[in-house]
Amino acid sequence: MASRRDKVLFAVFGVTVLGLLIPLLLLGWYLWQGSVVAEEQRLDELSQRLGEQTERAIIDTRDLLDKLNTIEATPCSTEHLNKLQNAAMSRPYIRAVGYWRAVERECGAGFVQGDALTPPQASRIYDSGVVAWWPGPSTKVGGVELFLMRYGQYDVAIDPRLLLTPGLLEDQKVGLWVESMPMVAHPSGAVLPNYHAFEPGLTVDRAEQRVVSRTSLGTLFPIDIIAVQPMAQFWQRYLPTLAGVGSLGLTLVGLWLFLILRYFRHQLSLASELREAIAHDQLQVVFQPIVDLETGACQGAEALARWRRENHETIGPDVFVSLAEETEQGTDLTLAILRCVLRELGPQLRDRPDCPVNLNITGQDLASTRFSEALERELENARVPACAIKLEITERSLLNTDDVRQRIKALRTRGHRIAIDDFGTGYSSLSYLESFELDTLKIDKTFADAIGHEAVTSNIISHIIVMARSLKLNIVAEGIESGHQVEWLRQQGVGFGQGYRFSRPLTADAFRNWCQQSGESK
Amino acid sequence: MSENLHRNILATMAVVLLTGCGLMPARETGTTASEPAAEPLPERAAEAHNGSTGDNSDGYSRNVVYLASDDQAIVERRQKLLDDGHESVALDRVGFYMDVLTARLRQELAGRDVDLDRADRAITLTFPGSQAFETNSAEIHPDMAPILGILGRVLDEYDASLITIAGHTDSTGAREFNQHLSEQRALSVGRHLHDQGVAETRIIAIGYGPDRPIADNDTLQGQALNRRVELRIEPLAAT
Repeated sequence: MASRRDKVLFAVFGVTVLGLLIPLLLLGWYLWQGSVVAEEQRLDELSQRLGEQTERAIIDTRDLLDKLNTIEATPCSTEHLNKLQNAAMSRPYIRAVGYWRAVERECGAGFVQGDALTPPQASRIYDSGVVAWWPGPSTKVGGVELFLMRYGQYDVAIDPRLLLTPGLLEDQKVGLWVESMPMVAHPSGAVLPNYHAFEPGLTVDRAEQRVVSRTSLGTLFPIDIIAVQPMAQFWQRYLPTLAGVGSLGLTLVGLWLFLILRYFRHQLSLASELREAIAHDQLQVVFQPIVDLETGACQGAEALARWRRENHETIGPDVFVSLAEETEQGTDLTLAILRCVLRELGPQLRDRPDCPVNLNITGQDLASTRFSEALERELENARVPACAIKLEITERSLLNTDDVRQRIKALRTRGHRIAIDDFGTGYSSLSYLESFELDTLKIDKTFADAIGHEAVTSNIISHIIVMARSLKLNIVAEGIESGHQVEWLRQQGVGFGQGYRFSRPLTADAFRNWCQQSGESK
Repeated sequence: MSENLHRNILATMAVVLLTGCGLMPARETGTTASEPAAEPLPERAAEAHNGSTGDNSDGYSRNVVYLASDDQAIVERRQKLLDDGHESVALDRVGFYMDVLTARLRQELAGRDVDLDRADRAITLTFPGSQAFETNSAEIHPDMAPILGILGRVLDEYDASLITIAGHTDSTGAREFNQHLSEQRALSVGRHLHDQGVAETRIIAIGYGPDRPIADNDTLQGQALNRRVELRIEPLAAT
């Protein structure tokens, strides 16, 4: 039985863990995706802007070359040179504009020393007659590889670094290709992977620990942009969100698991501790007197178990009784209480069987013959007559089966009287109870509480009383606290009562004294 | 360079003025010299035929397009130009020279029906015979005149180059006639360029007759392709 219980326990535990882990993993995945998408958008926008800037600059340069070729002024005159100068100055990325005859630079604005303006091989010669030299070692001046364009008699030298707006780039590594040839990299001299190696969009390159974004523009001529960022930076950007939500989730999972574990451990350890307590008869019993409402004389008592753990924590019967039932020690508990009762109050019960002690029994006690056999044996040993032990069964634990009915009948035949406890809190009708052989009906405390409050329940109690009387059952009202309640109940014909109005639960000695005093006062 | 240009223009103008016509009849080419009186350098009037360089003191025939007898003659002519200190391209600028010249030709010839082929150190323009000339004649077709005008202008600017004009025919007809026709056509184009201001010293004409077909002579289409004039521009650079 215990293994089945463990299985259930593990299953509950597993489901709990899964139920928490799956949403957590999903959340993590969602956040990761979100971060990737956000980064993709950010880099894509950046790349788009860079690409468009470059495109505009190239188109503008092309237009400028067209215009220069239509200048009417005498070549290299002051007027002509002024025009070249204006063209160069109005564009930040232009380093030089030159007027050429064949391969001789006749004049121009801006000057580039050396052979940088006459590279040995053009990158592109277009059908239109435009020649372009992409940045490379042969166009390098002062560490800057220039981009050259020539059309007709004019050429323009462009500093490709100035095609990119530095403000946009932050600390990104960016490479830009025009017509599949490298145009510019940022920062200068940065070694970037060729864009061909990557799919358009964002690639998380775990081997190289970097995030690479590729964007392609193809409006007029193909422009490809690669933006590279170390993984660490990506993490830096998105880690706060990921870590924040992730750790919150983990904390919740941890807390939840901790609580579950603690609960189960408590329950498990409590159950084994209870087993110990039962085995070693460490439970205490107190007695709450049951009084004749007419005379005030003691008519017996209900035995109530108390369990004080080794750490002095007192556990209420509502907890340990159900725990005992859950862990299949219900009958052990009942018998332990019985032994305690007989030990402490044995002689009195022998002398005065007319003042019986009520022993609470559970559904488990009636489920087999073990309890009734043990009960018989214990009473025999203590030489206490059966009539001195009245058995209280809660309405809810009363199973309407032939076996149970037979067992109750057998117990009753032996001399035990049977009381039905907590009556009114279950769902059984009185007619259902009729099928059992019962002696006493104990009305639950909630009904006594309602007396005088004109609540619906106080109406019900009258009916219960009437019907109980018609079944010829003794009636005990539980939880009586005031004289008013006593008065009312007596008028209704209720014979007995139990509650703080008469006495709180007492130790065996105190109970004996109380019995004597109440007997003398009458 | 510009002194050269002016001299060429003057010379051309003189020729045009004195002959009254820029285009000489093909039959007379190489046999009839231009009027010597108009020349700034009157000692010329030599025979340009068969690769002979005439009897001028500098070895060039003035105002007469040089007709090379074979490929070797072209090589020699080229070397002579360099040896004589003709305008040339520095070796490390040859690539640049060819690139910008190619681009310039493309720009200027955009929309014209000329096939331009760029090799590492040569640009070849091919004119189909049927479009460039009247049938079986060395007379240049009127449609060709603007193209040659453009070429003259560009080649005058890019003066550090050698222009070889090669005439080709198909294999139909008498070999001798074809050889002669190819030579005359080449000379005709050369003379026209000269008239546009390109110095005659840079121009070499050569006729290959039917010897260098580029297509199958057995088909009409192939024959048409073979009848052509190729204008080859090379940078003048020390090799």
